[in-house]
Amino acid sequence: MVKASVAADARAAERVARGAGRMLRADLMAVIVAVLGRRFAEARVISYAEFLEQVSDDLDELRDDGFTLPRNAQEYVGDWIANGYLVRRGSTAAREETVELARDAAEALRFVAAIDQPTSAVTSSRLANVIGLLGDLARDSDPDASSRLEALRARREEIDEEMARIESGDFEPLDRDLARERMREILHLAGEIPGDFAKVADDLEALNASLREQIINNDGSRGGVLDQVFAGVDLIEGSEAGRTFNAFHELLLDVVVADRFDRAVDELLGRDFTTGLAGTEIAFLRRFLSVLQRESSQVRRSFTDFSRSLRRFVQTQEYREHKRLADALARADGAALQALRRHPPSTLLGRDLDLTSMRIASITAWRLHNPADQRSVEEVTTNAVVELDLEQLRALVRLTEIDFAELQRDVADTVAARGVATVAEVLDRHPATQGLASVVGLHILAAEYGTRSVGVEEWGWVSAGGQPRTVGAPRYIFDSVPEHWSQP
Amino acid sequence: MSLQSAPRRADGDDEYVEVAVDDVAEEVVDHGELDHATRRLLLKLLNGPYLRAEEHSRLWAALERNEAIVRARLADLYLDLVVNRDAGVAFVRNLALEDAPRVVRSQPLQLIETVVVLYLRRVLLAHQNAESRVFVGTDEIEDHVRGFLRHETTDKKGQEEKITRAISKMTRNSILLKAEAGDRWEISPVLALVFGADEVAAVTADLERLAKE
Repeated sequence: MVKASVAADARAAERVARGAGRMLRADLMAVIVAVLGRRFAEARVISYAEFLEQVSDDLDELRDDGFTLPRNAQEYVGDWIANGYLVRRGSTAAREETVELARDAAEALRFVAAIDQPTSAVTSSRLANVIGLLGDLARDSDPDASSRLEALRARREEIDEEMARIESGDFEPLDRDLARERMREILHLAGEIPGDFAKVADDLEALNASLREQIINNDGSRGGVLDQVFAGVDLIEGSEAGRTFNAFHELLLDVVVADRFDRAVDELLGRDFTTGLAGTEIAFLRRFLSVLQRESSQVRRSFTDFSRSLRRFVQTQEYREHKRLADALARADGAALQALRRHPPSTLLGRDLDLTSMRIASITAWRLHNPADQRSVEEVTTNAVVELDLEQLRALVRLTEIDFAELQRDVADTVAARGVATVAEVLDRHPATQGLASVVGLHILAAEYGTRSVGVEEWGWVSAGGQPRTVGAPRYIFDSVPEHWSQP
Repeated sequence: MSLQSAPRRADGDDEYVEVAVDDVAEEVVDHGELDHATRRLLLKLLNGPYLRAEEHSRLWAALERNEAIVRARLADLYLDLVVNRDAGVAFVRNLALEDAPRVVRSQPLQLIETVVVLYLRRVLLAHQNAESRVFVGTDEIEDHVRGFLRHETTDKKGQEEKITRAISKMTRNSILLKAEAGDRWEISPVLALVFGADEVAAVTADLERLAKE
């Protein structure tokens, strides 16, 4: 916490200015913060092509609002990547790239948000957190069995006393304001976790790159990175970042923990002090663990990938080839530069690059063009056309198709009224007009636009025969819906 | 005479190449001896540019099953099958026999194209540690090549065109493969497998010879 000197402080601040500070000094800071903050609030990784479209939409909206943005989405995104706000990566699966927020940009976004919505840190809940965590640490790190038992006995006595008090009716639920403040503190803490994945991924990549560099440039001295990997030491899994992350990942996959979390969220949302929470906050809590699990698994996979490829890099002597090729390429570039000084660029080198395909062409692939093929041989009769009755057509469509437009309006209306809505709440407010078809339609919309939550609920409708029907279904949460849904 | 347009394939399923068959009166005798997956695999390998385990899983399975047969059939056509399981890639090249004909298409390299190929190989090398595909932007290639043409300052426009032509030739020959977003390309993983330190050294020797001429 205490730095050595003012010069060291200045050096540290310089590093910040080069990193996260860079985005804050950008001319388009407001636009960058708005676009990135909005797009990466939901997803950590977005496909590059999709992101370009999203940015293009956002730019249009900003221009309508009076912002001067002369360039196109591709140019802006290219700039943001070049400036290091975004990281573009190739994906393994499809022939497409992805973008994600760079760590510095994520920090900058958090910084702006913190200034925009200041929260006081002088709260009893934060202090209680610190004291509680300290107590736990003191207990868990205690090497002495007798004092550990002592502490546990003292806690048992406290619990016994409290149970006695509750049995005699002497207890008071937490004051509403205090409870609200604690809730805010929890949301604040929880909100910081996803941002840290970017940091872990960054550290991991930096570590991987530096290990490879050390392997390629090994000078034959003993005991270096090369020898360690050869000896089967996993330097990536065993690094500090690796160990910390693994502990986190294991806790996240603990079924008991997940179950406790879900139960706690369910109970809290039933309390009166949570009625003031925004829909996004409720959805955030509901979704919290599943989002973390998904993100965490991705990071976990890259750990494994990096370890495996590093091992292979050493065992197959690939690192020697790597160095040889890097040197060869450098020399080739020099030679190409010399050659281009004396010859035009289109000069043939006198060497062919063999490709990996061949031309398969056969005369039978050719067809004679017969104009008669385009002609009809049947008699053409003209039928009179009746006036189109739109209402009748709509009724016909409704008989055969799920009326999604109506369902989207219903969802949008319920969300507008309640902030968030489950499918059951939508059906409550707008009974299914097409019976089971409406329910199926809502399920399709929920799967695509809603968030799967824990628990089940009952969906009800009236069958074509006039019988009320219900079905137990997974609970989905709608929190934000596309704008066009609410239009008639 | 006119050329028929090729039958369109469904997106995302280019594993199976549609072959239009005419309604012919006489019965068609199928002389093929292999199962359909293996025959399609042979076709895909001949058509190139390469087979990727993740992308063509059914064909890859056929390759795992019948590698020896596929290898023999290709050898009958003077082709050598290269299977790299680490990279999950398989492709064909000329069989390196005495007096065997050269079967696969080849691209005579111009100086400017050589510079592009060397650059692409370098990008592949830089990303070798990641398990993912490697992409490059048209602008990145242009910036790099421009550095080699600095001394030719008079005809900027002609220079740009030369670079564009070199890039489009790479795309025609599947060394660059179109990515989802505009102006981005995947660099074919095959380049890393066919263009190693020895090949770079051979190209360097040619370049050095040219520089003296």
